Order: sequence, then structure tokens, then C-alpha cells
Amino acid sequence: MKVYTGGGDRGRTSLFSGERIAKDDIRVEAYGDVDELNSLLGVIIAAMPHDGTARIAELRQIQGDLFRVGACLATSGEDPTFAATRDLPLENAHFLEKAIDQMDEDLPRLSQFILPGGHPAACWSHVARCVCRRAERHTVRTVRQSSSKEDMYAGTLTYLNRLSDYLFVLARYCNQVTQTPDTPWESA
Amino acid sequence: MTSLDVAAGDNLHTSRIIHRQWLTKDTFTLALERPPDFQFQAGQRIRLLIGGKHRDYSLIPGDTPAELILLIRWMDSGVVSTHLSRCPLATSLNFSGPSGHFIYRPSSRPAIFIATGTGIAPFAAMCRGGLQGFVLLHGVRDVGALYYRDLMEPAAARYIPCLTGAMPSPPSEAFPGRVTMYLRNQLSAGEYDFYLAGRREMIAEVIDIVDHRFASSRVYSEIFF
Repeated sequence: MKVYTGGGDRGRTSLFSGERIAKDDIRVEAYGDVDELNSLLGVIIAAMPHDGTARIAELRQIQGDLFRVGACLATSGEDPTFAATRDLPLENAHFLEKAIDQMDEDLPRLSQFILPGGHPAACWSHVARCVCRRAERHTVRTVRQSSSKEDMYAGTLTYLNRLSDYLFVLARYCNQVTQTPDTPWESA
Repeated sequence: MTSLDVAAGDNLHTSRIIHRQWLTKDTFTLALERPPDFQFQAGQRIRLLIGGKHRDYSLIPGDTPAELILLIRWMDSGVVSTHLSRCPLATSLNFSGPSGHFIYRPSSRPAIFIATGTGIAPFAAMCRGGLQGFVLLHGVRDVGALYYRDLMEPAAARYIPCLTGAMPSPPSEAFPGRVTMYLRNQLSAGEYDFYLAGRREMIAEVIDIVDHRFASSRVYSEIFF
């Protein structure tokens, strides 16, 4: 199967819900961010240290969830039944919370800000965290600027918010299992 | 957006060929045994897995609930279509699916179905499911390739064959030209739900026309190769 249709050559694209919209529409920005984030998770997996491979299955599951998030964002709010079937259930965010709690148990308590850095997998986790925050911001704007109702994307918004927390903790986890110290921020 | 469902679903099935019927010299239907508990929505497809290759085909409900129908165009250099055109009846086939989101979504806008060739298959499936009242443009070379006409014409509010080859004699209600020409010159301005199934070139051209002439419309598409 070929991946191109030529239908987007003039700067417009089709949503799952059928509308033709400009490729710089905030909704396209939002699901584009999610696509970028998903790719970064692939980079994290590739960079994951041997001692952190226990997290790989978890990251693969999150990648699958992000496909669903992208599909949800590519569905406008005009068809609420259709969109509702695509939103992530809150259980998926609970899955992230459990993973966060599990990693956090063994991490030293933070008493000051840390600089993003350390092991390559940790660095990529920080980059992914920033992209996740951007995806969340663009999703919020999508909801605000369109006819979409916020509760139609409740699971997606919760998930993105929790995922950035997960990625922060994952960065610290990657540094810990590789015995790479966090670098505290020294305020001037 | 880039298709998120390029890979068919993981549900693997095995079926046997019950019947083969040639509709034209290069197009035939295969009736397959329906695996137990196999369910699909009209417009969805399966992925046949043959000799390390895979091809996607839309599903059409059979004459009985125990059958699934595939509408297949035989390609001269096509390994899969050649195999399907020649293998004995009762041959086992492996497939995955169903998959795809090309399903009918009721709305207040008129539905315009546009198919080229065997792209009629998902619409035939919708029609077999009881759908009525749509406008159908079926682009083919000649009237002999208007597959499922007997099924589609009575159900359609308007059934418009678009013939790119010789017109029948005596002249019929067919439109002499491509579906895209009909859209550019014949379809009234308005807001529609366009459903496109067929060759990539047709889909790209129709989308371009929709963007210019029917900008507030919806477009759903399924590519056939």
C-alpha cells in the first residue's frame, strides 16, 4: 500500500471526521505534536540503558496510546458519538500513574530543581516531556477554538498531562539506573 | 493525516474459496467461507496474506450469512490477483482484519459516493446493509464494468455511470466522461459528504475539486490499487 494520495499537496488535509482543513490549523499542530512525541518515545527506547529495559514494554504501550490520541485529535467535535469512541479512557492515565509511583519509589527525593541532562535516554525523555507539554497546550487550544467540547477529550487531556510527569520521572529513572547523577540548578 | 491503520488488525483468520465468478475479462468475485463469529462493518476491508505478499480488499456480504465476497481486478503482473484467479476452489486463504474506517456516517448533508472500477465494493457492502438515498458516481470504461449495478441503482437517489470509453447504443443516462468532469461541471454547488473509493489519481483530483468547489464538505476516502 502506498502512503501518499496527493490529496494534501495544496496545503490542506482531511480529518477522520471528514473536514478539509488547512495544515496549519491548530488541530493539525496538536496531532502533529503527538506524532513527534511518539517518535521521540522510539528514540528513548533505542537509547534505553540495559538496566532500564524493564520500561520498554511500558513505552511501547504508551506509543500505542498516542496513536489513539492522534486519531482522537483528528476527529472534530461535530460528531460527538464518533469522537467519544476515540477518546482515551481514564484507565490509561491511571496506568501512567502506577508507573510513575513505581519508578518514584526508588528515586531520591528532589529538594531543588534539576537541569535536564545526564544519560542519553534521560536527555531524550526531557525533550519528549517538552514536546508532550506542547501537545497538551495545542490540544487545549484546539478544544477552545473549535466546536469541540472539552469533555469529549477529557481522557486525552488527562493522559497528556500525566505523560509529561511520567517522562520527567523516566528521565530521573534512566539517570539513576545508569548511576548518572542529576545536576542541580544553582541559582545565581 | 497519514493513515493510522496502514497495517490491518491482528485478527488472523483462515477461510476457503467457495466460488469464483468472472464479471468481465479482468474482474471477478471470490466467495469465501465466513469464519465463525467474524463480524465487520460495511466499508471495512481484510488483508489477504499470500506467498509473503499482502493485498487489501473490501468485504461485501454474501448472498448468505456464511459467505464473504471479494471483488478483485486481475492485474497482468499481479502475483496475488493471478493466484486468486487461478487457484482451485476450496483453496485455503489466510487473512487479517477487518480493519479500516471507511464506514457510512449519517449526517444532514447529502452523501455522494464516488467509485472507480472495483472501488464500488465498499459501497456495495453499504447497500447490502440497507443503505439508500445516496448519489453514486461510478467511473468505468464501459457499461460492462458497472459492477453491482442491479444492487446499487434501485437504492440510489441518483445513479450516474460515468463512462470513459464508448457510450452504449442507444444512448443511456450515462455521463460521457470521468467522474471528475461530472463534479466540475454537473454537480450543483453545496455542502456534501463525499465518499471516495478507487484509484489514487481520482481521489487526489476529487479532493482538489472539493477544496475549490465544495469547500465546506466532508471527504472520506479509500484507495484501491
